[in-house]
Amino acid sequence: MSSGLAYRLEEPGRNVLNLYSVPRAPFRRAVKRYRREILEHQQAQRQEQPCNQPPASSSPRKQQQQQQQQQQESSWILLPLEIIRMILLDLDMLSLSHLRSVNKTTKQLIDSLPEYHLLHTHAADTLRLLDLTQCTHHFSLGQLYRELRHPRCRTCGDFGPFLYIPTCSRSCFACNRTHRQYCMAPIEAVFQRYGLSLDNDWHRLPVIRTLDFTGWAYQETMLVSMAQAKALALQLDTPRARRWRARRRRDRSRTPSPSRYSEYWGSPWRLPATVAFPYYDPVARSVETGVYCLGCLKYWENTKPATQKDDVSGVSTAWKDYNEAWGTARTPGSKDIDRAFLVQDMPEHFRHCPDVSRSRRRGKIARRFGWPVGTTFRISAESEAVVRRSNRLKK
Amino acid sequence: MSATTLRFQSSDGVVITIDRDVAQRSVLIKNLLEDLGDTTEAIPIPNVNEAVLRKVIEWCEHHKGDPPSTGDDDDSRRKTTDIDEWDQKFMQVDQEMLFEIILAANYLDIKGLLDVGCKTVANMIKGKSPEEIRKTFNIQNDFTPEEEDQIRRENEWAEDR
Repeated sequence: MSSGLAYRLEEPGRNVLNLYSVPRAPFRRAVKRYRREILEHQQAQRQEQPCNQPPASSSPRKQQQQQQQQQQESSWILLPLEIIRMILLDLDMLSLSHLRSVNKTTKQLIDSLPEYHLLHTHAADTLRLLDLTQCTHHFSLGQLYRELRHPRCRTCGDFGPFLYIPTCSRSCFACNRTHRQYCMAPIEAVFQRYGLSLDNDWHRLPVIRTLDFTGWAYQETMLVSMAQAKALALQLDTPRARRWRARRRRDRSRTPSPSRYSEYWGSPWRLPATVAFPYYDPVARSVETGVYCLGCLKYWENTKPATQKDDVSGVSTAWKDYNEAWGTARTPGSKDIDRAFLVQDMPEHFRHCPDVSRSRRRGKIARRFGWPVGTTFRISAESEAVVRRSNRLKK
Repeated sequence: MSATTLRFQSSDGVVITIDRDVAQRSVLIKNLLEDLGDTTEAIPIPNVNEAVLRKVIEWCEHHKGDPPSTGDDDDSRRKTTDIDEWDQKFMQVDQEMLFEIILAANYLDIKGLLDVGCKTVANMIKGKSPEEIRKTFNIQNDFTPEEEDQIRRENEWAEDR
């Protein structure tokens, strides 16, 4: 075990889907429209399938109706609290916000729910992004809270500072960029490929809508997870899907199609379904957004070719090079720049990290490709974050 | 070993005979049998009436072959949010009955049934506007207009950025 310097990102979601560049007014407009539309959609759906409804007041007789109403006074609000808690955990954030404005009792019930409170205080930006991508109604409070409390990436076991929206699972940067199960693609292309119908099946999957706020015309892209679409197609196994398979086989004999999860149509849309998601430690009652190793950053930070360890390319390393180098065999030296850790995992990393930085630079600003990203601090071998200033004050 | 059937007495005094392995879906009964050993007497279940007990037994019989739920609650439970078709049909009862079933499942400690019940109630709340929720569950609105306005603004927390 050894010590070294580390830093936290001040804006953890910089390289994934984030809110930093989203202007306020269009954001509000988009969210408002989403909330209205989803309510209308769900209402319409309910009318289509009345079997989901419990048979309410089916008898025309008034007396019976009244009796029923009296019975309904013993509403679910009167159930034991632990059962109400289970019910509320099954609800999504939109329904909870509706329920909150029903009655004083329900408002109090929800406000006193620790899971709800924690998500709102610590992951407010994540919730906003779920709203913006129009996915809030897919995930229950229980699901979200489970991920908030779970520190590790569901795929590789590293610390995961992100939430992959379609499956609502915690993930790390490397998995998001390289794993095929995190591939996103435009809904039209995927649905056509898997023989799903845009009219009937789109609401079965979380559809990520990404709005491009950079231009003056807001373009909306609808993305779905390819892995999920495929699973859905297999599950439905409709004649449509079979037809698609037959056609595809024939097609392949004529023209060679790109490999199934080819990087080139998956990756440009991969990260737009990932958002920063802090980890809440229920024991320490603290929030962690991820600690990064300063040494691993310094490798890319040096822009002078002379100091470069990468002897293959003589050019300066910059964001673009880094982007291109990602996931290729050419990724030289430290590729852990985007690997987040928990504080207690840091000493183990420092022990193996070839670039570990131990110089006296704590308290300064860490820079990524010229941009200040966060303040550095020292982590001792006993995995304690040592902040220099407080130490000095003590002396 | 022991008898293959057990007898239960509901709160209204009706005695129902059930297969042993069906009854053991309930953790309460399972623990009870471990403590009691063999018994031929009817086991009283004071909180559950006959109609509800029969409903619960129907569910247990259908889910006889399910793998027993593990103790780790949250992780396994939250993965799926949808209810399978049979359970959906099973839960098409009036609200009063639904709540009785939930209470019985809670008392008898039948995890699967409790989950299904909670999800059914959650589905009844989902996708409804506050007004509709009030109507469905017959809840009175006790907010003053100012409070209501305040909450509406709070709820649109998207606004406060």
